[in-house]
Amino acid sequence: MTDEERSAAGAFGPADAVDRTDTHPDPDRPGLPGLRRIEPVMGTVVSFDIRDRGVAPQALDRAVERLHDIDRRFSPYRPDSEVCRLGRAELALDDASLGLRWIMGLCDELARLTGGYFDARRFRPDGMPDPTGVVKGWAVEEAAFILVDAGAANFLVNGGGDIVARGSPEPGSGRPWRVGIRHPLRGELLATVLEVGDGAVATSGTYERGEHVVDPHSGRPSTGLISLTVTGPSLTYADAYATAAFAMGRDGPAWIAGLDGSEAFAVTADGLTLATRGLAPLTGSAPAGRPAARP
Amino acid sequence: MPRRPVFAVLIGGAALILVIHFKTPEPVPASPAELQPVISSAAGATSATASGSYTGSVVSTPYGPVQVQVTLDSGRITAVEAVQVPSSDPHSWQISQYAVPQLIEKTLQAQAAQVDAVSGATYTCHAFMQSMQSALSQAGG
Repeated sequence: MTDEERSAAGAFGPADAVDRTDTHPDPDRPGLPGLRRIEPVMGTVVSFDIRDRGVAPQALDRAVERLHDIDRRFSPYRPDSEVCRLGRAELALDDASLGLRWIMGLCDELARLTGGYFDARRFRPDGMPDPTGVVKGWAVEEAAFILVDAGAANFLVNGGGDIVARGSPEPGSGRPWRVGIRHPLRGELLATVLEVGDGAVATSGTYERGEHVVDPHSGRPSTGLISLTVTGPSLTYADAYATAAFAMGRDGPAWIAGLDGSEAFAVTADGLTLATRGLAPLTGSAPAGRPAARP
Repeated sequence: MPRRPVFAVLIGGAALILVIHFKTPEPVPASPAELQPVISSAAGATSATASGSYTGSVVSTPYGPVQVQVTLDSGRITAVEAVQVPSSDPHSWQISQYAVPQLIEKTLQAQAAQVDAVSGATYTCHAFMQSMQSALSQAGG
């Protein structure tokens, strides 16, 4: 999205639209440098964990406002959103904002890249176009870009389990962020832990919300996998790839393995875990002799 | 990803096949030994001498509020109690009846501080951890 689009979109909405009560330099963790914030938005919870010293709180405010702005414009659940007006044919795509046209173009590109397995333009029963599957990851990535622009180099943004990480939780230490992958059958446990420096992590699966990924070619809920995690440089793409590969079922991890820059971790319905070789998973508390990291 | 080999420069059918072959996924049996409790690192920040009960902040989820109280004895968690759990619909009831007791049990078993973030986490798990971390932060100050 260009600067022109950002300003045309009024990217930074009115300040009173954002609940600032939980903006803090660390009420919960006084000893930790940086900024933390947890923001309910887009039907989920997005948490920011900035470990750099000296990043302006206003930059974090702008990142949060960007999420709310995207939610207002692209939510299929807000009747007054641009997406809903498009769905009701009150708005023609040619007349839509550059931002929405860009998103719809991205949906097309992702459908092509995934052989139709990620079909974000699949119409909902009520006729609304639903680019939600693209928008969430993209929005989190947009928020992360705002932090980078403000000089942040060590942070993690977690949008309901979809993650953008940069740098290290201990700046200068070289220690990567440790991202646990929730075990889909045993919700209180982690299936594995991934090390992430600069990168994105997205997980698709049959978690609390039920079997929400449908194979667009069969129209039925995908089976074979119950959780699939993709890592890669971009959350927008990792998110779409995770959804697509999950819909592919057992063929999904191999498909991810063939993509440049992406890795996959999957849990199958019968409880096996699969990992592509480049993933370098860790199991910090596993007994010696049972490393999950493949040679 | 910092450790990813630079495959972007590989062009051509033969190279592509090599890459795919190299990265073929392998099945790994899931064993309980490889599973780790979902407790984020901030939970480890308690003071070694903290004792008493600490109530975490109320965390909103689409299913309802979650709030946790932890009891410490010299920095060790001796009890975790859910002060509030979602209960407004059958789905939440299921979470409250099964997930939350399991989380509490695993917390007591784990006492661990291993990860910075969780992918694939659910609202309730997130909220539980968040509330618990805020309770532990009060103890660790």
